[in-house]
Amino acid sequence: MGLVKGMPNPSSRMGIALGYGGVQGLAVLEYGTMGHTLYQYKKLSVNGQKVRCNYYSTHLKEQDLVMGSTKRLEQGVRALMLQPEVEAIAVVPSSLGEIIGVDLPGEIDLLKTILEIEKPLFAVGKGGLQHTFEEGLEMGLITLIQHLVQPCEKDKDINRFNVLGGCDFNGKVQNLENLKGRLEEEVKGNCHSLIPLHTSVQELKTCTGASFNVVIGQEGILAAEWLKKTFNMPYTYVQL
Amino acid sequence: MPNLSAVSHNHQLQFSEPVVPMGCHCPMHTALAMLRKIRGVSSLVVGMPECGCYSRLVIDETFQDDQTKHYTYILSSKEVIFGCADGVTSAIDQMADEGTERLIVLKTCTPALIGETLDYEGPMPVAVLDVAHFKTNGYMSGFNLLLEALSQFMERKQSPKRIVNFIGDTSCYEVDLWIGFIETHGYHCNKISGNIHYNTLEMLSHGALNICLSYEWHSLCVGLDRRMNVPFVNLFDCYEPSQYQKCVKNVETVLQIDGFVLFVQESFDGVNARWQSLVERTSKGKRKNINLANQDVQAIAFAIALYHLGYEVKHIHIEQWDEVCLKWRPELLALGLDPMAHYMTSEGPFGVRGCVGELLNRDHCLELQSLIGLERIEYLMNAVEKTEAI
Repeated sequence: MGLVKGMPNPSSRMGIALGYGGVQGLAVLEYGTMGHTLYQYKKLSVNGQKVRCNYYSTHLKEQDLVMGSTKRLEQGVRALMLQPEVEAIAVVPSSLGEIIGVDLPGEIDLLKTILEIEKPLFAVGKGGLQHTFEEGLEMGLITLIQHLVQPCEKDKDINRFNVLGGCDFNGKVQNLENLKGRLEEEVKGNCHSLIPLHTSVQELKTCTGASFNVVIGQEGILAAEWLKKTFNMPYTYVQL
Repeated sequence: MPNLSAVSHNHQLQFSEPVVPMGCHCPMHTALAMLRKIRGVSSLVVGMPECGCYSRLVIDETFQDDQTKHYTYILSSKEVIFGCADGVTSAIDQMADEGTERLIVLKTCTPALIGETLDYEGPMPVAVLDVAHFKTNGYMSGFNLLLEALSQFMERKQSPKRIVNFIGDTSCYEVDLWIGFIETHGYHCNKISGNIHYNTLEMLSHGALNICLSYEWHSLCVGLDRRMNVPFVNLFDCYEPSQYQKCVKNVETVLQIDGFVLFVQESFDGVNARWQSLVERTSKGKRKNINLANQDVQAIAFAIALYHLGYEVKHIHIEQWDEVCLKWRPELLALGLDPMAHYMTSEGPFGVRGCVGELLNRDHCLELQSLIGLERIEYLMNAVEKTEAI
């Protein structure tokens, strides 16, 4: 990008972390330094969005980076497994981790073999060196869906739907109640969950009980396609 | 976790919890927060999009005038591998062409990790600050690095004048009393805190004495003392009457004004008598254990004051290990205290971050730090007496 006089373009990692802000019960654990994690929270607050997930950071010191140590990651996952309000853990990378070549998905797979993993635990995406913010939102959403969604009985209400997408850097979707009402009127249905704008780990687990999905942002299409292929859930795109 | 006596570097200070809820700001934040108040100095944040975007939460007005611009340089993935020195140099040249007179380059985590030095040779004074968060725990070094760099920009263009500068933020009337007295002895006094121009800041190098009221400005006072022999007196780490009396004597000696100690004596005697009475009362019983988890107070100096008021600090939060900690540590150890030193992140086993046990919460500590001198000591005594009464 070079010299930027105004606001730079946000990275994919920011898309992943900010996109998870509306998921209650989700612990977003960043493998990186603390400053980013706090800024993520503050950015959502500046956007006027209530933060429903819990952000955590492993923080990294110089020796961790020099030695490629992931000990803090293991300590963090162990501690979060014991916290009752945490229902699922998403491990998010940082630029530093990517530069030193830490394979986060590999590390998570290893942790699953050595720790008692009782809650969903997954690593998301890459450290933001190459992909865009929108690609990060997309990566975050598809990974969330793939790891948390479970097959369940279809709801008796055949007009029940989920909303996929709707996130952006500046929080353009301000009034969630209005959004819900508008979409319900437009598709003639009842909204089960706004994913990931305003949802929870429990709602994600039961979202396949809905009959179809409504996609309101480009970042939701990949997740909608996967749900269609895996759970036979059709979707429609609504331009906001 | 080490005891305080074993600490020699920030890296030894472990977090009180295995995972940090939300986290704390990085040094880039505080450096920019301070820079936002100083016109006539520009900045360039060099790093990844996260640092670039989020730094705009601190500085939202990126162009104020030709000399005050706050831009970012965002590394591409190619520059992460091959280096960004050429690109950053071009960006600095461009800023110089556009009228920037002095520039602070903030080197964030990624350029620091890949070993960029970002040296610049040109007519414009440029200082490169290493604000990588992985080199520290908290954010205080941001203030120190920035003000030390600014003191290096300064030149003494005139001979020292009869000027006394009160530097830092305080809501205390005692400063006005001091100013009133000092000005009757032929000195002019300035109050410097935020929203100033660099040229005003440079006037500090011409003073006879700098009186430092907040920790954030301490490294500027130290820099001016080292480079231009402008002496300074710290009031931000004074929590006891004996410490206060030393500060007053120092001011009297440096300025060579008679009667300053006598001027404050009456107020001092009243506060000191109350302090001694409280010390006597609290020393009769067993000392209470307390955890000092606040990041705003000068922890070690404060722990010494707490000891005299009947509290023994068992766990102490150290926000930044620096020369102020080194100055006060021997006195605390001499009292027979050697608390465990950590970096406390939120609500953990050693206390809630921001609090000093049940004695003071975060708001109380902020209020305590906004006061100086006898007012601060009285505030502390009120808090202790209120807790004792409960």
